[in-house]
Amino acid sequence: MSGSEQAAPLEFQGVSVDLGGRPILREISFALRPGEVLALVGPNGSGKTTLLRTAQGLVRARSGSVRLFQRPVGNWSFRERARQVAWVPQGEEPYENFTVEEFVALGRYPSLGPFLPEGKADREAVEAALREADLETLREAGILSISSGERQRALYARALAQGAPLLLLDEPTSHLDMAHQLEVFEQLDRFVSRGPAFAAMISVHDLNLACRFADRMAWICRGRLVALGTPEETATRERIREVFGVEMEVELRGGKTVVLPPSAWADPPPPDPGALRVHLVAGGGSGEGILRTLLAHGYQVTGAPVHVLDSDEDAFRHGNVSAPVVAPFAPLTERSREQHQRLLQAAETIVVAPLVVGPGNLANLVDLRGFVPKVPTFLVGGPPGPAGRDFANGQGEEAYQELVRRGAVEVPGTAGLIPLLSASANARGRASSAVPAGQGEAPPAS
Amino acid sequence: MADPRLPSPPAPPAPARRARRAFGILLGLLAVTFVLSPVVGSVPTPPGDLVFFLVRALEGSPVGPGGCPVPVYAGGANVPCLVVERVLLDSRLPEMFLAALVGAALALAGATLQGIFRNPLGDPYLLGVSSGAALGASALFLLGVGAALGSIYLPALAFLGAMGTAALVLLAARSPRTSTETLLLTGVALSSFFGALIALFISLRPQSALLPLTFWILGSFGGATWPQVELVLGGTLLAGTLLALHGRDLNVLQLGEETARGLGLSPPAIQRRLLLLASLVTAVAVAFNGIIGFVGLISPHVVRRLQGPDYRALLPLSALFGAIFLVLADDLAESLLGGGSLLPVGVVTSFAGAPFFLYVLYRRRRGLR
Repeated sequence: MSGSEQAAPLEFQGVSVDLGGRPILREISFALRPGEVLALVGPNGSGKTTLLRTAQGLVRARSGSVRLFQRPVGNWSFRERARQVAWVPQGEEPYENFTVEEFVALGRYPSLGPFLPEGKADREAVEAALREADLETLREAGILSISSGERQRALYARALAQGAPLLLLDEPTSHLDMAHQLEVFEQLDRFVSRGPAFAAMISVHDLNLACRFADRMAWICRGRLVALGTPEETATRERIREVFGVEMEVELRGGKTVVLPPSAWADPPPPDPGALRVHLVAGGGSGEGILRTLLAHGYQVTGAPVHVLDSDEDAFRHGNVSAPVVAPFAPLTERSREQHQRLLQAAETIVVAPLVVGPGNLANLVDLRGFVPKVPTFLVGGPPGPAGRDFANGQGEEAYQELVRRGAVEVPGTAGLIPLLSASANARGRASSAVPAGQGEAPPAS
Repeated sequence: MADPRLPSPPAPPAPARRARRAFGILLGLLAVTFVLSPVVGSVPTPPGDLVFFLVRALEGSPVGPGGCPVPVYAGGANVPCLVVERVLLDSRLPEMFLAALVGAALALAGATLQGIFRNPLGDPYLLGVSSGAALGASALFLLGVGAALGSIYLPALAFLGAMGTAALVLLAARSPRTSTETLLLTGVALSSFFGALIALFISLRPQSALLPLTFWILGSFGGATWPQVELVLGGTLLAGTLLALHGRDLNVLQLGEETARGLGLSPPAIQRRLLLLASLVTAVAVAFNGIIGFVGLISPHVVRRLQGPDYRALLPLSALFGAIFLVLADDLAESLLGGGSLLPVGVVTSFAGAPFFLYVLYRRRRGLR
């Protein structure tokens, strides 16, 4: 980025703001870079909105200086300033039911003032904004009659029609569904890539959206700027704890930071030592949902061998499930198969997830043969062949059908699994205490 | 509805074209109203006769004492042609013009106030401006000058009362802490207070002296004269032109203060200027004719429902609608009781206006789907 020569569109230097005698912003200093999308993140009431309003002179700073394109923000006339900064406020409710087109055309006010008639350039700007926000088919609809997502797009279009190089948005995604949230950020991406002078600052609650799309993040906490930098630099577990006061998990996926709520994995409920021992055969990401369900019901779970990089391996690790792990994309090793045998011997019930069967893990199904039907076995989600999950030249399907022939029970979905497991537990006397004779594989643990 | 035939940028947007068409239609309706209105009144005049008298008057050769040179006047053979001419030219026509102008002025004031306050109840009444005018007028009656109803004192005092009230409201609006809600409530409080004062004045005077005041307060175009028309025309044109220039400002104000600022408009400054203009136009409207309700309230609403909220179109269209509405209401006031008895036009506007307003209000909104 040729940022060093390009002047900062917006610069805060030691800015403090009081509202109603209460300090809202304290000693904020930063410079917005040309061409960047800067995300403001912070809890409710941290001062994000005030910062955005201060940036365009809607709120006066008690001390410090705010410079807009090198010039103190107070030195701009209202209309001059509105040609440089477009503002998408939060929760704007127009009083009159303008058509979408009329509404967007009001963005031309700073260029026209009260008296100039709309010219060709103005109409083109409005058309371009309607097109960019995908509102062409809604141009005649009333702004109060359309959905809130559509209205958000209209607000954005009006800001675009303003033709200002700097765009400030106050939580534009808060009332939108996921698709529209993504759309907002994709539009912002397109906006800042229009030219070197374009930049945007957006306050947002969704850290993942910010991490995914923002060039930098400004972390605001109780009126202070506590960190400013790329998501990878700044979005850390510690920072989130400091700013938001919550524990979140931060991971890198595809080079981007993702923030996850503390999931069941982080702290799985300790399995009941007296609970049924369930052995889960999974692969290709098929086991995660079943595993969560099993853990949530308090079963003790062991796992069949999984490959590193398989998300089932992740799931097993997070769920503290003991399962042999093998190198990625390699066939199961002899050692892992022996470990599998030992785990199977301890199992009281076997659950086979709707796994993807390949040459690498075919042995997992084959190795079950010795235990069916001595150990009650449930096959979840149907045979792999018809479902396109058999990548082992039909051997996966064959192994599955062999288990069925031996007496494994097919279960359509996870929901149907739980009653069967309870029945199985009862049959084993797990709920009471008696272990019925004949079902002799119960280990001596009880 | 999206119109697939719309060629993109160069064509003016569909609402603008519709507004122009609506303007033409209303202008035509106003002309028709003017031609047909002389048919009612104490001396009914059919359109043909109206044209004849107008042409003679414009040529500078009124019919004079010699009688009518053409067999006009079919309305009532017993009325001399000269009388018809004088009634038409000196009374009925100024009355119609005044009604039209006052209707336009009140509608402009109503539309502007609705826009400033972002409140559908915006109306000259609301700010107490009408009540201020009434207070000025009734003070005159209290002083015993009531007989001089046609004199210049009545409009002068009414105008002073209106502008004085407007000044009070503007003073309140000067403080940056005054919200629009506070302003509205200020107007309501002033209205009630003035109403009480007027009631006090009335109870202090003997009944006989009160009839003219009652008529004034209820609104009437009875004594309209051409000089009055000229004054009202001047005031309405001036304020109306200035107001019409603020159409886009009013549009931006509808987006809320925050957005208006973001778009480069300073709401308090514009609101004060518009408030001053609305007060001026209201004072002009009520000075001669007293208080005529409902025109200022309903005209903008009707136009908004039919045409949309763009104030650049809303202001002129409301003015036209108000003009037509009040001329028609005056026609009704002239003819309803018959036998030369006059009904105050304010009674008619409220009688006709309220049900019509309710009908429009409950009809489906434009653009809703």
